[in-house]
Amino acid sequence: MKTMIVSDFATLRPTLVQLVGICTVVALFMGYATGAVASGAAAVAAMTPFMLLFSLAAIDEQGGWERFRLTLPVTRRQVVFGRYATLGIIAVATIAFALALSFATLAVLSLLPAPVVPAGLAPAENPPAAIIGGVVGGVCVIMVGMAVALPLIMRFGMTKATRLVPAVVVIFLALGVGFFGEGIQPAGALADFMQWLDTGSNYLVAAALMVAAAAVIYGASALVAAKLYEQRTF
Amino acid sequence: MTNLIDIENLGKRYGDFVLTGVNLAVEPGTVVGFIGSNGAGKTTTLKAALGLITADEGTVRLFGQVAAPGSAAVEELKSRIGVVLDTCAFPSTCRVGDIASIGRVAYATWDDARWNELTALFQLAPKKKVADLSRGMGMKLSLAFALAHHPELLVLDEATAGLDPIARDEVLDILRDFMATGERGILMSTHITSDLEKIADEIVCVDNGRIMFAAPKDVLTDEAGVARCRAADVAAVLEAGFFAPGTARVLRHDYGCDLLVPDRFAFGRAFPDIPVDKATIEDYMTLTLKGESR
Repeated sequence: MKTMIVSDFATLRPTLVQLVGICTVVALFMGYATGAVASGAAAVAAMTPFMLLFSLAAIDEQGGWERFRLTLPVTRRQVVFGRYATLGIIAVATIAFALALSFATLAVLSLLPAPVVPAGLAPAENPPAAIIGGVVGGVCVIMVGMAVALPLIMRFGMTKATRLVPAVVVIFLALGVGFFGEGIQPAGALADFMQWLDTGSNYLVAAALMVAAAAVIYGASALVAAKLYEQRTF
Repeated sequence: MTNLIDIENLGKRYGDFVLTGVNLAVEPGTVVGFIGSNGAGKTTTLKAALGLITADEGTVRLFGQVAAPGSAAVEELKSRIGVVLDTCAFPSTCRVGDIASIGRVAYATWDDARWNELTALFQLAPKKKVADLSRGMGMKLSLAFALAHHPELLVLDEATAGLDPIARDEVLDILRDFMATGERGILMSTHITSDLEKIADEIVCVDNGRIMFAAPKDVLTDEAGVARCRAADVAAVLEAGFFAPGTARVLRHDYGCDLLVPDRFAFGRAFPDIPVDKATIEDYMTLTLKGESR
């Protein structure tokens, strides 16, 4: 598994450096456009692991790396669990980076005179709980997305999976819309949920619940992917 | 002594393609050349040997142990094998130095000094990106990686393809050094049969999923020959009973016929008027696979 993690990070190293710059620009732009630091941070948190997942999957297929990697002393399970571990590490690092970027931005904004600070970006309007909730929530949502995409990528490869992943997502969305359409009223439920979030430190409670749920789904996905990867031929 | 690799009765079906009854062994101290036309089954055999695919039938033994794909034992066995596939497979975003970091964590026997020696010899600068390497340099990088953990068995799939003649000779020199201890072995699949004439001990030829011949290289290149015949000569040779019925291989061309003879010295004594040349591996393979059976 260590071989897999080291090779994944060796593969991503140039991308990671570029990504720090891109994420900073995206976070600042999104924060300014939406008037909330949390939304910029959440955007960065959500996009980074997913971008790197597809970078790794694309590189796997270049030049037969995925096939050659199996000639190294690693088992197929180690390959799968190593890939999940790499992306898990990236998810945690993304949370740390997005939070650091957000709080650094707030620190800079707090030094500026009030009239210069764009609307909605004043530190008082961006409580830490909302930022943490947004960042952790963004990463958790994308981890669930990765939990759906990774088994398909592991089984069919990136090229085929890029056709299958959207199809699976659309099916889930259609099922979700069908379920809520006949049951819970979305507007009412969402309004209640937003009200609950804004009460006390419920952003942090929600974040903790999302982390737990995402971790369970991600772990289950790894087991499924390992099973599927055993059947892959190269 | 235990063979480094033993393939017995290997079979695999892919749609219309069927690999069947493949037997192949690499003894310590032996370089086995694995030849055949494109799509003959060479890569499928090597993939099965390396556990990349599961065979439908037959067994693969590595260092005397049955190597079932996915078993924990295979991973230990794979650490004793160096592999070079037909392309430089390392991620294009990596630098040469990054490849060493992968090798260091993958192999307990990884030798940084050997890696540095090989990359210096091949003029592979540590900061050079894999994407910027030519095909030849990429193959050298793959070879350096395969050798830097001191494997006991090298599996090479078209490893010298894309290299210029000088670089190929350098690679062959390195492979000879690798074989110097007499305990190691190489299984080398290639279309460049002249490389095998310089280094191989055994030649195995596969065609259409079946082994067509397996013989010591010296039998093919020293004993065997190609008789340069006229059509009448072929008829006379066949009538003389020099070949058992159906075992002669004849290839007709514009200026006459080539006849594959297993013992050119005996043939020369029997038919002194027919010129007979030493066979190359390519001659032997071409006549065996494409020659008309008479």
